[in-house]
Amino acid sequence: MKSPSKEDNEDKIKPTGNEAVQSVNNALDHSVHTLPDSTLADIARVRALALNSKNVRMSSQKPILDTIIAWLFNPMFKIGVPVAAAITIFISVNYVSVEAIPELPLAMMAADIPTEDFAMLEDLEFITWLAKNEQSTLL
Amino acid sequence: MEAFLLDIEKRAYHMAAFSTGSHADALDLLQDSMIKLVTKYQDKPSKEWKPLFYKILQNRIRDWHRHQKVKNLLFFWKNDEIEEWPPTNKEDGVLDTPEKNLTKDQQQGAALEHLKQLSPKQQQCFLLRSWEGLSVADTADIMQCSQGSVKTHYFRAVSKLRTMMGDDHEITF
Repeated sequence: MKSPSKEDNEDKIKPTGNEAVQSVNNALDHSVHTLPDSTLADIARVRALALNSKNVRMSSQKPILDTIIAWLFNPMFKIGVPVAAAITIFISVNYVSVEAIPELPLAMMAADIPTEDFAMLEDLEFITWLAKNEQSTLL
Repeated sequence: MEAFLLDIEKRAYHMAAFSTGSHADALDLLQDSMIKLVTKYQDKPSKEWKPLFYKILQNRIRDWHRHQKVKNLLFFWKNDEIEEWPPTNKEDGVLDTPEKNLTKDQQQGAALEHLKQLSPKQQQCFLLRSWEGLSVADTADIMQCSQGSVKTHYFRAVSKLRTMMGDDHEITF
């Protein structure tokens, strides 16, 4: 801010801030009051359009209950729902679950195991079973 | 709502036209703002309508400026002639000699010319704070900046206007 003495040195008379603000505000008000008729008509049309947009939206928005009732009594709905239900039941009854059994790895195929090993495994199994039986009879 | 729009429409149009410099664009912005207010915020208390409406309008104006910037970048070879708004006679704003007898219209034309020379933020701040009489808080909310920034913009706007008007009415002793 300039001090008053500095302003005096510049030998100028400047309006105060309030005067400047008032002057611009008056100019703006005057400009608004002297808008051409064509502009006023355009503004009025825009306002009417905006107000009408609400009515259009209101009329296009039906209550939810009305929408549901109308939907229930729709002929397509009457036919479509039983058909869809029948198809669903048919599929669920006739559905066969085919679970794929994974193949054994080749290393475990019996063809590769020697016959002596098989005999030994069978013996081992028999001995284990025998030991278990003896233990149970002792107890 | 209709009474509110009726009360505010001319000023809002003026604000949009001042910022865009185009009658058609100002009408578009005004229409968009009005439609949004009517369809989305009609249920709000009526005392909230004014700041809400100006917030919508200022957002639209900001978007418009962004689009213009992009458009100018993409189509830099096109030099669109933007119609001057408000339609003022430049001769009216320039005051050559103190002897020139100024009419009221000429003074008002000069004041608007000065307002046009402010930066967009200062213009916006001045119009909202001074002309529309909105509070600092509302103006800050509309301009999406702090209250301190609003005060700074307003102070600078008034200082510039004062300086420009002082230069117009300059009397050398």
